[in-house]
This record gives sequence, C-alpha cells and structure tokens, in this order.
Amino acid sequence: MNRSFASASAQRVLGVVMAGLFAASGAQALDISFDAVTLNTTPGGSVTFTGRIENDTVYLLNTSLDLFHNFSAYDPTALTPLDLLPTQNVSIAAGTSSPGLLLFRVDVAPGTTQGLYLMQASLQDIYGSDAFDVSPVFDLAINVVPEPTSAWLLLLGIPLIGAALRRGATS
Amino acid sequence: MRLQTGWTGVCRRLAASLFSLLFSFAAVAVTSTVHFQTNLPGVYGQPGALRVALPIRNVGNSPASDVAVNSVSLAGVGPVNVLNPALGIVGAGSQAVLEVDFVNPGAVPGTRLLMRVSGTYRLSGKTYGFALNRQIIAPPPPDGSRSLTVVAIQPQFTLCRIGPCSPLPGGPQPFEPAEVNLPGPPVPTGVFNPPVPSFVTPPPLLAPNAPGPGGTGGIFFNTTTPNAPNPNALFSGIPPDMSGASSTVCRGDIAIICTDLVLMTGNTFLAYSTDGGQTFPNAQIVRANNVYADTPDGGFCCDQILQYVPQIDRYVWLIQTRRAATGPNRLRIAVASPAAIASTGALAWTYYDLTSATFGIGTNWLDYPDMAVGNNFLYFSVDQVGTGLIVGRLPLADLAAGVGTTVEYTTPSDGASAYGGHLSQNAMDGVYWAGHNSSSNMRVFRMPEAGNRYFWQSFDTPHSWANSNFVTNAPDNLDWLAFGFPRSSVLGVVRRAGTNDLWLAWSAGRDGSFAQPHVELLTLNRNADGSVTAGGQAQIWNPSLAFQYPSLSTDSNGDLAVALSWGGGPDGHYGSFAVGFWGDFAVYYIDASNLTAAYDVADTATPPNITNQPRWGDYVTVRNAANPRSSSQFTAYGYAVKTDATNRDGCKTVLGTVTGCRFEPQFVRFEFSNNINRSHR
Repeated sequence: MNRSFASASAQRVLGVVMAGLFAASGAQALDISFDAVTLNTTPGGSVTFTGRIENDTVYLLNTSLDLFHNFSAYDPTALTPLDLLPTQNVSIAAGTSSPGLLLFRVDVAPGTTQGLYLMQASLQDIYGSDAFDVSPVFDLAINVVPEPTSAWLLLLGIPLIGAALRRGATS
Repeated sequence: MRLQTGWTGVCRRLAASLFSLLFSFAAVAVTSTVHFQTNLPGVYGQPGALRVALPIRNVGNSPASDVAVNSVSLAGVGPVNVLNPALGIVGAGSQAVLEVDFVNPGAVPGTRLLMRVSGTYRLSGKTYGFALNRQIIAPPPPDGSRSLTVVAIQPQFTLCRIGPCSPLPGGPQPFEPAEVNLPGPPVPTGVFNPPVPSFVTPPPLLAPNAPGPGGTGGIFFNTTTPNAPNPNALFSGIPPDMSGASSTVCRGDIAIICTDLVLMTGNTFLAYSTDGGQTFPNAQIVRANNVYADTPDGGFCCDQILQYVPQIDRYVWLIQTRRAATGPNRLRIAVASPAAIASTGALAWTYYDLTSATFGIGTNWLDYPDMAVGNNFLYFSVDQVGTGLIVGRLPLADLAAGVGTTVEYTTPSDGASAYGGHLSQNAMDGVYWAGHNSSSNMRVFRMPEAGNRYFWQSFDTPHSWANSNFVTNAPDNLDWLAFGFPRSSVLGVVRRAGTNDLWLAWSAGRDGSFAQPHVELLTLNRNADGSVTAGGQAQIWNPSLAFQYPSLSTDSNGDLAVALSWGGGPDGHYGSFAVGFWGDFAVYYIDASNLTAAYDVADTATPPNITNQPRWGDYVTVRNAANPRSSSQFTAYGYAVKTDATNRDGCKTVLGTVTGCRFEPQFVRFEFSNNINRSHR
C-alpha cells in the first residue's frame, strides 16, 4: 500500500516537472531553460538553480535592473528562495538567450525532514504586467536527502535487512 | 532519546527513515494552483518617506486565502510600516495591493530599487510560502521642473492630398477583445480625510427629443445614433473609445449658408456628417487604411482623438498604431481643413508621425493618447507604457502650413503619477495635466506656451477619496467597471473660461461616504505664475448608481460641460453614456445600454485560465462645438451596448457563450437653454 502510494506520488512529481518543462517550451516573451529542475541537498544546505534566460521581448534586458523572479507553492518552514539575478550584471538583447546564469538559490532549513519539496518560480521584467513580459510558471523540486550519517545507515541497513529476511526465510 | 544499538535498533531506524521518506513524498506531492506575480506599482515619494503600492496578482487557478506578508525590504532596507500585511483572500485572476512605507533612499529619479516581499498563504488547508521581487523606479521629487526635449519632424501627405482622390480599398481592422491597456499603477492610500458628500446627482434623465427645450435641467439636445447599414463591422470586438469634434463655417453674400461639419471616431472608424450631426451616412465612414497607403508598425489600431482648431480652421485627427513585431509604435497626427474633409470624403490629410524613436524610448511603445489646443500649440499626451505620461506640443502655425516642424515633449518618468491622464481643454496660454501621488495628494503639471520648460507641484487635496472598490454590477450580474483602466487617472481637465479656475475630475471608488463608484471634482485656483492652489472638492455621485470616466469642457460663458458613464448599483443599470452641465444637478442620456460588453480572456497559466472580462470605456469626450451661432454649444461622443442577434461576432462572450450585440455610437449636441439661471454655477 505504501509502496503504491509512493509510486503514485512519484509519478505525480514527475508529471508536474514535465508540465514545467512543457511550459518552458511555450511561446511567452520570457523563458528559462533550467540546467536541472530537481536538485539535491541536505537539511541546512542550499541549492542554486542555474540556466539560461530566453528574451523574446522587444527590450534589451539587464539581469540586475530589469528582471526578477517570483516564487510560490513551497513549504515556508523548509525552503527560503532568494533571487540571484540582482547580483549579476548581464545584458540580454531582444531575441537572444543569456549565457549560463545563477538564477536563484533556495536555502533549506536545518532539521528539514528528508524528502522531495516542490516549489514554483516565474520570471518577469520591469515592463511586464499581467500577461505581458512574464515567463511560464515552472515547477521545480528540491530533494532533501539524508545527512551523511543517515545515508551511511541506509547503505549499511539495506543489505542487513536483506540478510535478516533471508535468515528468517531459511529458518 | 536512548540510542538503540544492535540489529534491532538499526532495523528500526532504517524503517523509520524509509517511512519518513515515503511520507515526505506524500506530503509534498501536491500541485499548488496559486502563483503570484506583481503589476506596475504606484510610488509616492516625499522627502524622507516613500510609499509603495504594489499590486500582487494571483495568476493561478485557485483562490489563495490568509495571504499574509511577513517580510519586506527595499534596496536591502526594511520597511517603516507595512500598512496591510494581512491581504486576506486573493482570488484566481484577482489582485491585492500591498502598501508599504519606507525611508526614502533619496535615489536619483529613474533609478531602480529592488523590492523584496515574502509571506504565506493557505490553499486546501495547507500553508505555503511565496516570495516576490520587483524593481521600483525612484520617483521624481514632489515639485520640480525640466526642459522640454526637442525633435524635428517632417510632414507627409495622403495620396488624396497630392493626387487623384478615391478611397483606398483598405480592409477590416481587426481588434482583439484583449486589447492591450495594461493596468496602470494603483494610487497609494493617503491620509484619510473623508469628504462631506456634495449634492446628490439624481439618476440620469432620458434626453429630450432633438432639438427643443430641455427637461427639468433645461438644456437643448440634438442627438444622433448612427445606424449605418452595417454598423457592426465598425464596432466589433471592443468598446469604442469615442472622440469627436465639430465646426461650423458660415459663408455667403446673399444668404448666409453654414456648413456644420461633425467628425466622430471610435477605435476603428472615422465618420463625418455635413449636416451638423443629423446624419452620418454610410458613405461618410472611413477607416484609416482607406486613407493611408502604408501599414505602419503593426497596422492601424485605435485610441483615436479629434480636435477642431478654430484659429487655423483645421481638424486634427490622431490615431495610434499597433506595436510592430519589434516593439515600437507611433501616433499619427493628421491635419485637414473642413473644406478638404467635405470635398474629399475625409481622405486628404497632411500628417506627422510621432514614433517611439521620436521620444527616444527604443522598443517601448505608446498608448492612450489625448489632445488639447492652446493659443499657439496643439498639445498631445500619451503613456509610455509601464513608465509614465509624455506630454508634447506642435506649433499650430506649422500644422496649418503643412511644413516641417519641431515636437517638444516631457520626460516620461516625470509623468509616472499622471499615467493614463488626459490634458486640459481650453488650454489657452499653457496646458495642464495631473495625477495622484496618493488618495489625498495630487501632482499637477503645467507647460506654459512661453519658454521651453514644464513644471510640476504637489499638494494635499481638501479631502481624501476612495482609491479601491470600484465594483458595481449591471443587471446581468457583470461588473461593468471590472476592466480597471485607466481607473482613477485624471481624465477630466479644463481651464474654465473667464476665470482663473482649473477643474480636475477623476473616477473614485466606494467607501463609507459613497455607496457607489463616483466622480471626484477638484477646483484649483491659478496664480499669476501659472502655479495652482487647491480650491474646493465636490462629487458627481448617487447612492444607487455609479458615475465614472469624466470628460470636461468649457465655453466662453464659463459653463462646464460634462460627459461621463453611468450604471450599476442597486437600481440595476447597464453601463451607459450621459452628458450635462456642472451645477445643473442632472445628466441626460440618449439611449441606455441593455447589456454589458464582456470577453473571455486567457491568462499566462499553463494551461491558461479562461476568465470573463467585462469592459467599458476607456473614454468618452465632450468638446466645445466651435459654433459661431452659439457660444455655449457642446458636442459629446459616447456609446451604448445593445443586443443585436444578427451580430454574433459583436461584443459579448461569456465563457464561450456568444450573445449577439453591437456598440451604438452616440453623438450629442447640447447647450444651456436661455431660461436657465446660471447664477448657481
């Protein structure tokens, strides 16, 4: 039961990530090609989403002056997103793509339970309003993995469980 | 907690870890359908203090509840005060306006300042976080002045102006329902100082038949609702922005013969009448592409404005183009004499193009223009979209001669507070325009004809006014004011003849003093140097219906003519058009609407959410009639929305259900009757 539920959940996570990728291929004026839509970190760690911004607006856009991210749909006790575009000074001509950029960082609170945490992000420019000069809404995921000690326990434990089960079966 | 050792303990910890992992999957694998983005903010800067009104829009497909802001900063510095940290429910496709006070960083006007906002909301019983970023543009100081920028421009000529004359074949000018008037910035809330409501304006009266003595208000009416054989083709798609002008030229040695020429435009047409507006024959209706051989930018669009300029006996016709694929567009300002219009079927024009490049705004674009006439200049205004109002001028003498000239214009970022505003009619020796710093503080701009500078000043209004809650439903349960542009921009501006008064009018919302959206009026006293001081404040209002979209004009008697829209409220009226005189305490309508224009609009979500967007406006106009036979005659231009089963492509779709309808343009010529005691004005 648990396994099938987990499987269904995983498929749904995959589904929304795919939706995000599908949205990214849309024809909106701003777009992001993420290097990865799921990143791993540990509790207390952080991840930085990277990628390229496609500027299909009619404006010359500067990352520190004209562009900014919006974030939603995340667990506020676990995640804190921080837009990194203002810290960079990259101009993106109309109809071109940026070089690889540090887009935004997501800090994971210490003590966060391991698991997959979802969030949404979009990009706007300063000229944008409502349906203009905005990107699709992207679904992203941060996979909070066990602390190294827990990971070692996991690695050690699986063979041990297997051994225990086999011993029980033979007895 | 006791440390478990041995095989049993290891297995239990492993099982717990696996369960935790699985549970985490289950806990987070819920797709939220709320996402916030921001719209153009309103910014009110004073020495030491900066108030930002930031619209936060839910572009998801579910309402967000308990929306709360818990962290705000501007350029890395925290707020002095968050006025409304609890935003409550923000429905899908709706927005809330967050208002925050900061210490004014004193940045150079035009500098970008990063505003960060974070908080939480609830959806389906769970709490989620959001974080928003927006670059705020540092505003100009409350008072100041600046030199006009000067650019040379050259005239061009339509084919009929220089050769054989016949209408170009042209073609339909399609006009999408979701025509791009982006929401303007919200007006920051000012110091609460509620007004004492002025005299209640009674519900509009049906206009008397034309021509003849008026009803209780005692004004003469002469009305026309052109009903050409195929009027629908002219008005499909979107409510027409009605503008017009009229002239009367009398000549003759034996008998005086007067030609009463009336021009009227909606978004996609120009119609003219040679009988004073009694008829607008179908053959006297043209589109821009019947006149012009080129297709500039993305083609001819909309937002047309007409002015008659008596001192040079010329009509001036402004039309806006669509954005080119690369972004820019233009205003085309065309000039022709009444005689040329009558003889060529409104096909022979000398015109000047004012492009995005003219104003040095690169690939940005221009929208929502207006015009006014002074002693020596034609004035125009237009929004640089997302930035501010540009105001410029052209010498009348050059327009009359049809020669190369110079355009002088203001810096767009100076006009951020005047976004969506219109110009003062009867400009005389200098034009005025205005905007709101807040709901209790105004910024008034002036451009004297002498010199090449413009000035602005800020001052408190006598009373505050409601800058939110404009909801008022028509009988079809649609909020006819839902579109929201230009909302509270100062649309009515006039220098009252024979006085030192400047009158301003704008749309206000509902509050404890006014049960329905209404029109606020402010009088200003002009000083010798052209600066102004606040005078009195009044309202055009009624507790049972709304008044909005004011336009003002004046005559040599100092009469103040008003055109506006009305509807909604508990009495249940559809959004309609009316005219009247200030002080008459009545407005008159011709033919009221019997449904609300509305469209299905898709947002940016994936897949898009389809919502129904009612729409009225974006403007109606009233102008002095320039009639030598009557110094107090006005012409006004508006419309009604009428059911019409034969026009399925008309003006209404409600989530896929199409209702046949048409826009009925309305022309009104009206004046005070002689038996009216003007002493009450």
